Amino acid sequence: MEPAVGALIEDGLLLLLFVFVLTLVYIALGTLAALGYEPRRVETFETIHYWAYVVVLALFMLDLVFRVLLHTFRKR
Amino acid sequence: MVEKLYQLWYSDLNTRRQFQLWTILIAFTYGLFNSLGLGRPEQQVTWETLGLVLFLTAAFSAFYCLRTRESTETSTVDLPYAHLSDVFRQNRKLFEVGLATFALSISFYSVVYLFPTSRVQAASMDIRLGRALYSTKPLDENAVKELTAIFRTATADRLSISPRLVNVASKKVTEASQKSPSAWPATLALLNYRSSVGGKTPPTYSQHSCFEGPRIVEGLKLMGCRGQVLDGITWKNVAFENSVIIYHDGPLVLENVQFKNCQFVLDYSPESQELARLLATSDTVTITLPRR
Repeated sequence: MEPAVGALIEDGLLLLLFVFVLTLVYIALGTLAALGYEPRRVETFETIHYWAYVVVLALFMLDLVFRVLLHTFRKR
Repeated sequence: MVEKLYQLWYSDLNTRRQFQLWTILIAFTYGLFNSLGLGRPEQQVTWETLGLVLFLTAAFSAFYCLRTRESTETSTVDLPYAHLSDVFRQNRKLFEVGLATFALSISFYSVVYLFPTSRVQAASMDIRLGRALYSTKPLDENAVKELTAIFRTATADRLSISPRLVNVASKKVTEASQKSPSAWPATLALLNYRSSVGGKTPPTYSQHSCFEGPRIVEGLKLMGCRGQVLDGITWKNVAFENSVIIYHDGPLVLENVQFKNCQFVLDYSPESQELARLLATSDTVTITLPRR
């Protein structure tokens, strides 16, 4: 099997791990808000969560595109 | 060149992970600083952050390719997989954590979305509302659409959003609708939401259905009217409940008039904006239109 597949699967699993942690944080924030935690602070935490999500998703999606393009060009 | 890039992206995963870590740290810090520190519009910063991720990825790749031969020769190839099963065998722990992650994510999704509780739903609405309100200054078209969707959902599902956020939304949405008609649907959705939650219990007036014709209506409760036009009538000490309220910018006098659980169909005009501004802050209104 080509190492390409292994690298892609590894990255996929790593992304899944990040998304899981971010999902946990999202649920925790919702719970905090539901419990009446100060909304201003929840908003701040939510902003931090948003940027973590944006950066992780952007990086891994970009990696995927780069990898596929690179693999295609190399094969030619 | 392509071979070196291939080595970085497919084989030399230790170096690649270092680059990924640096990219995440730099882009995350940039987004957070601009959003929280400088208070810049979130949408704009998001695009900039995406650009920064792209730039850093390209820059790190270029750096890797331009390194001296000596340093590149020390890079190792870690993943000589012969079969697909080797991938799972050699990354067993990562694979197990990934699977557990997937299973747990699906479980949480089921709990939160398939069996929603109003409190969790309301909390997620608060988060969405806060994001929509503070993401852009002033409200842009996307934020207005999001606000419209939030208030419609909250009205339909009987969710109670944070009153503080609703007050901020009232101010921002009514201001935006005075500048642009595109914000008007959000204003009407907000009024419908306001009318659907809380408020005082209407006084015990005698009940009546829709009115047509009389010039003065006083001391009544109108219930279940599917289209009560307000124009041309003086309303004194009246309570509307479970009704659809229509206003076409005609002359109007409201004195101590309460709207509870009503839907509003207001034409976009300065008079309607004035009425909407009052309705956005209180369910009981006293106003004469047009203003003298």
